[in-house]
Amino acid sequence: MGNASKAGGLNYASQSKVTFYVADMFTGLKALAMTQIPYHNWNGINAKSFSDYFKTITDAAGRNYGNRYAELFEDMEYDLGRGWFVNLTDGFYVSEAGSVKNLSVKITPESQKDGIFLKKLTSAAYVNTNNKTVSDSVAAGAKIGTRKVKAYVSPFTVSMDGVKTTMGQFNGSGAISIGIASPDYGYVVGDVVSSTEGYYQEYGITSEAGGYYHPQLIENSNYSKTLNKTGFNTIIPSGRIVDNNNPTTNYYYPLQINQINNESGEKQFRGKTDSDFLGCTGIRKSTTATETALNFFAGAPELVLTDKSSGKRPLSLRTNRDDFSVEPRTGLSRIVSQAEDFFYALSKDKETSPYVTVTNSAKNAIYSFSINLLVSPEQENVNYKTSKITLEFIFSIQALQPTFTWKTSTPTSPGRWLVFDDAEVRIYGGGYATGGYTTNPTDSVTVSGESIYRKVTINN
Amino acid sequence: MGYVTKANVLYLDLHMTEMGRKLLLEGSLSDSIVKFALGDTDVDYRNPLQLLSGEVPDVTGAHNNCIFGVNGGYDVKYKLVYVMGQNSVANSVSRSGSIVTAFSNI
Repeated sequence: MGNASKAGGLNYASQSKVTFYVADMFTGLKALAMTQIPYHNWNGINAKSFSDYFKTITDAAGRNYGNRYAELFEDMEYDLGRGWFVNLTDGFYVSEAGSVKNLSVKITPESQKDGIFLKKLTSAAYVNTNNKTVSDSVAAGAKIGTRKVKAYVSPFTVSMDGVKTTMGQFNGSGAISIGIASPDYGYVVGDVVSSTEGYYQEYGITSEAGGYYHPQLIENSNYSKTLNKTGFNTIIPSGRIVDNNNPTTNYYYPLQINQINNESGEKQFRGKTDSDFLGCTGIRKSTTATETALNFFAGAPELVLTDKSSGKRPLSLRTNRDDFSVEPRTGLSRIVSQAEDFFYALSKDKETSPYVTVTNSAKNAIYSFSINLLVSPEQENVNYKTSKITLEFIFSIQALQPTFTWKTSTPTSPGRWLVFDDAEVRIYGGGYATGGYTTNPTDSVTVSGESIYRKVTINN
Repeated sequence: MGYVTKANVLYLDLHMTEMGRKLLLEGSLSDSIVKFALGDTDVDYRNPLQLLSGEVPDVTGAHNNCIFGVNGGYDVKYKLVYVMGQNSVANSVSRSGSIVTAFSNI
């Protein structure tokens, strides 16, 4: 086995194939999400079993990650490109006259089929060639059915990093990464339903005010006057995920008071110095995007808008819990479900289904498809030979388990993935078919030698 | 490049790639063309309909026997590039290098 590391330098390929094991992205996040267990509480929770996990996985120097959570997040995100975003490639260069140097590049799909997949994969907001945003989720998402079309928006996005060196700015010369893009961040404004409750606070709001606010409003000092008039007692940083099938339904993930209290320094937020409207500024100890995201989407419960009244407030954001012997719903669970929905929809969508291979079904399904991309110089009048990359996506629903536990639906509650059912982590990578796995997301391969996260094949 | 008979008026037929045809259907082709390039590229070898013996590419030959569709991803070598509004065309820079994709830890 052994840890993955960039210490070995870079390998270069004019033609390559990257096989991305989608389940590893989520099982790796489950491993990292277990750092959030101190903020949770339910009947029968065994918090120690989760924190003990980190003593069983080690870094490249052989030190275990027990109580070294920040280092684990940083090793994953900065060194390995694994986390909320996962690197599919690590950069683009031009090889000329025996040297390799940065170059601004552009990427184009090789064929119409590749363009369709790329568009649907990044369809949270697709920008067409006229730089006009196509925000119609039905047009952009993957579709099921013909009579009444059901469209699922992808929870993913694909990004290309730029590189800045002493030689200049090189557009697109950095990594191509796939990331989770369905969530955004803002603030929840409302009255805490029960301020003595230690966990999973809920908020009373009205139809006129309160609820989820865009950061631009909250962080604008003039707006605090408007907020003061509402009389709400709390403002708290929150994540939000839009339902992947219904853009008018949202799920909210406001930080818990125990998460805020874990922060050092000034905890109160004032829109203006004389404002009496208090809240907090959120997570500041985090040093990675992945840890910040998981504070919201694994450390906080999922709230939904209900017409359940609270005191003088006629509406409220509630946790929607149906079973107090298991964890509340979380954002990570929601995102895993959205990814599963999206791949299923790709296998049914008439534009993409001919190119999607499906093995097995339901919770044993394995979906795969490929996208071919051509990388060429950004400058039209430079004639370097293009580089071709084949991105193969393999999403084994089976490989999500037992890291995630599927809780079947009840007459009153839809099925969902449990993140904290136990402290199990299995990252299968290429072992999704043979059963080989590793429990350490910083490893390079499984116990039986299969690559995890991505497998690179160079076809020069 | 083939030989073109000198004439006062010379017509060029435009064969579009998939992207060009898509823009045309959206009614925005004229807005989208802000630059164009001319080049001598012979045949798009990915097209199953290849030139037969004695045929030459469309611009210099009998276009009725040539290929009317151009595959997406097709590119022209050794371009002369013209950007709308400019007064001159620019020779493309011919380089011998290749774009490479970098990977760590493989």
